[in-house]
Amino acid sequence: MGRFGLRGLLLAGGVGLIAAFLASLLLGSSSLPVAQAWQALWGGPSGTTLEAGIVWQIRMPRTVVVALVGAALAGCGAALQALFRNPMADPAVLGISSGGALAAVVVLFHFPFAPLWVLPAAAFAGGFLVAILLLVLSGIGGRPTLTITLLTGIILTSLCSSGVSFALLLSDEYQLRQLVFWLSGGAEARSWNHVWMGGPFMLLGVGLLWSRSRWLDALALGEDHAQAVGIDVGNARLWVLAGTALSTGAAVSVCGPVGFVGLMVPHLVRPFSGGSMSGLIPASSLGGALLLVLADVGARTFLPSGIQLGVLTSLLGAPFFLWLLVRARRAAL
Amino acid sequence: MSDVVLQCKGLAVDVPGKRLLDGIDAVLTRGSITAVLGPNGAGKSTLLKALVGLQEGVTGSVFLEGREVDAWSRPEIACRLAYLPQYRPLSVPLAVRDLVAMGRYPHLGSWRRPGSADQLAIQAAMDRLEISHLAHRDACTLSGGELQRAFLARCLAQGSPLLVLDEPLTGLDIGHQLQLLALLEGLAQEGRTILWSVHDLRLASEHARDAWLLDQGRLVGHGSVAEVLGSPQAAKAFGVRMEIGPDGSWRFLLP
Repeated sequence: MGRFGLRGLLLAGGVGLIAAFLASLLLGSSSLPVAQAWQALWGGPSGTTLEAGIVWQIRMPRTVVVALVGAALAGCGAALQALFRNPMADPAVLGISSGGALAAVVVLFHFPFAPLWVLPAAAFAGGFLVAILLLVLSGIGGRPTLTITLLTGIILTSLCSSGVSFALLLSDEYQLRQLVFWLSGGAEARSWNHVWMGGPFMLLGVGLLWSRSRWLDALALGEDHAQAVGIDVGNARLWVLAGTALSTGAAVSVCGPVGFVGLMVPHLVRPFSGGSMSGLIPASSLGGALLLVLADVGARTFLPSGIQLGVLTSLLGAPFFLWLLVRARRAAL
Repeated sequence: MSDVVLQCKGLAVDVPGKRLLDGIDAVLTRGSITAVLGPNGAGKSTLLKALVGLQEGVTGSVFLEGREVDAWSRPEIACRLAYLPQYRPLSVPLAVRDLVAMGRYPHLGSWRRPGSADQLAIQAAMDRLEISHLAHRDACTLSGGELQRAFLARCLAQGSPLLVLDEPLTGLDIGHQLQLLALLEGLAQEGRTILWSVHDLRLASEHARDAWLLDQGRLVGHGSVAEVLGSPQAAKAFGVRMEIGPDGSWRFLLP
């Protein structure tokens, strides 16, 4: 669990991410041969050929978006698991992903011809609104305990999901297709606009969480221990939820709800990075970026065309979640 | 400098439908080592939490170094008072050294990296609690006693002049209990003030100088350990007879 292990992990993860990034640029459903894609990549973004367009204007922004979303969701998952002292916590549990999804559905349903930036902005605002509601509602009647906050998150998730279902019931066939496509989470047709719109918020949110690593380390031991070492728990919780809302809202806004990344990745990297959040958050973010880029490459290259990223991560994540449950049960015996 | 480190006046704690503590007036002086005694449910942990500013529903006043405890910020309190909550096993993996290093958080703030003085304080605390060989172990894999020593090392690393310890002997074998008690006595001799809750009256009688006796949320006795244990209030609170045997040690008998 020493620093050497963490450095090794970050180095290996960095090399892996670069390799996955290259694979994502060179491989895809288009019939573009790898050698031509490689040439177009080295030709730079100013190339005017079709190949340069595919690599620099389609595959590159898509890969950057996917990497950023993976990094954001995994970093948030690591932070939330510490905040709630619960290995099952991830951004979706608090309802932030669902809040973003509901807001986006409202836009798709009522303003189908709104400019491109409206959808991410709405999803971002929805995620933020749920985070604020979470803070206010869980604080009614006294200081919010972790259990109350978690239960409030589940209630808000349920509420937002009902809203989404209602919108789906009311929609016509065209809207239904659009909504279902967006809600299954994916990176199809993501442009540099999406990168500039969501990227800074995702990075800012994860940076905020990382800057509060000490608070999270102490909170992971329990509120009493955290306060005993001088941490203002209410303030810390506010910072962590704000960072999570910022990062997750931005991720949902550009990619739709992509589940289980925040749950899986911290568990996968923790044995190598150790439990300290100063190492776990960057390692998780790197791992999340790597996992999601690989999943996207896999989905585009080896699986039937049209399978969405969110569907794939759910297929991977559901058995993982079950394995965690079984492990927790065994540990409790 | 005043000798009074911690003082409470008219301290009461209410939760919906119940008063947990009522009308507590007490004073802790510098360098004292005071045991908080009382039967199960008497309010020992609640009192300690109220004194360190972590209990909800508190009325009355608590003064830390002459100033109301709520007027200090949490890092300011932590620099003056190290609190060990009641023992609870860890659920997240964390290296023992990282756990002990948390004691330096109130001195570091959010950004400053631990300097050589911090590293020395961390190492000295681990040495005193004999856990240096566990520094790189995951704290989740420690035995209950080892983990309790790691938490105590965190309190020592904090370098605060007042230690408030809730059942610090939990999980420790008799050898480590005696070592810890000797450590507490040594810390008191260095001028630190110690307030600790304990169930074992025999250990309290041998190692604390003063005692507070709680019964049903009220402070029913305070003074030297001998005075408190010999009082009719103690016999009533615990439901046992207490007397000093021919060898000078306390004997506890059913009435």
